[in-house]
Amino acid sequence: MNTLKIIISITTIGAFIFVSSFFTNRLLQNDAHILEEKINSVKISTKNKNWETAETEIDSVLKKWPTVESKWALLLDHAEIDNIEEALTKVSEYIEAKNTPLALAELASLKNYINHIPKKESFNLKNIF
Amino acid sequence: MFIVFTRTLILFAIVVVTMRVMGKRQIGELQPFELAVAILISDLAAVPMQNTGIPLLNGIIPILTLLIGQMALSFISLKSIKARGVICGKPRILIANGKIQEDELRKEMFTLSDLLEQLRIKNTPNIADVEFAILETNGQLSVIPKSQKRAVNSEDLNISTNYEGLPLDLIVDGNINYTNLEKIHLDKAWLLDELKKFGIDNPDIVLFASIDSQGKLYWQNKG
Repeated sequence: MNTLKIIISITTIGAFIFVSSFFTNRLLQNDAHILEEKINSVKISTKNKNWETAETEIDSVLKKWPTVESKWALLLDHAEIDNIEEALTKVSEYIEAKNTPLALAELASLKNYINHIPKKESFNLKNIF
Repeated sequence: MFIVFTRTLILFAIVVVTMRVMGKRQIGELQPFELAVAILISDLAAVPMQNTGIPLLNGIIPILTLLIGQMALSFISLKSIKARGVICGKPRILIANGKIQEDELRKEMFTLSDLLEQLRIKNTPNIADVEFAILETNGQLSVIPKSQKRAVNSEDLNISTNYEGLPLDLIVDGNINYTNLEKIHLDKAWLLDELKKFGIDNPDIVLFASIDSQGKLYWQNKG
């Protein structure tokens, strides 16, 4: 392989890794932010025992989730995705059952699972070591 | 199961391409960093192959990272002798002018038993027959015997020899290699004529046929 080919190969692969890493992080942060906002709305409705609104809002999260999940499944450990799906199922059931404490607890778990993902994937010393 | 099958094929293809780009070396001739990369790549590919919970990218990105790391180190070693000394190390002379270099053995943590073992492997069981023994950067020991102990060659006996070039394969598994025929300015008609002399009418039945630099044809039919 001549010098130019080697330099181009190294630069191309390196650039691909850096650029895709940057866009991956952006994607995870944006999606997590969108889901977090929706979950916050559900939380407020649940606290106020506004069950119809809470159900509508959790349905909106459930509608949004497959699109997010199809992207996140390519980038993250599937166990993380499974945790979120489990929490979503539980929240949906607790809201349907009009159980405020359990719904709020599960919403807190769900929010934690979702927020934890961009933090875990961000480039910092803690994640490197 | 089909998921595991597909992931295995994808990772296998990536590993093959990566090893191909890294270049042709036998395992025993790899530099230390190349050996490290080869071992790491195989481990990195194995984990996502078996565990479908791990995204494929978690195997592909590290493999690509190792590839560019290996290419960068190889390139730097190629361009800079000093850097090569740091990255690959330097060959060490363990026996010089027939004398064992104790300091060099100690620096390489190479025992006398290791040295004797390597000499036996190199068909020089008697250490007294060795002029130089050099421990190369890939871990191989190069042995230069004393002039009186080395194998006799034609020059020693004042015998003149003809040029011996590379033999070229002309038929492999029934398929004619037209590129090699062109190299020696011959054609299919000549080849078929030559095969007819040995009672072969059809090159498809020939397992292997090659020609040496003296123009002598070697052939073997399929079983």
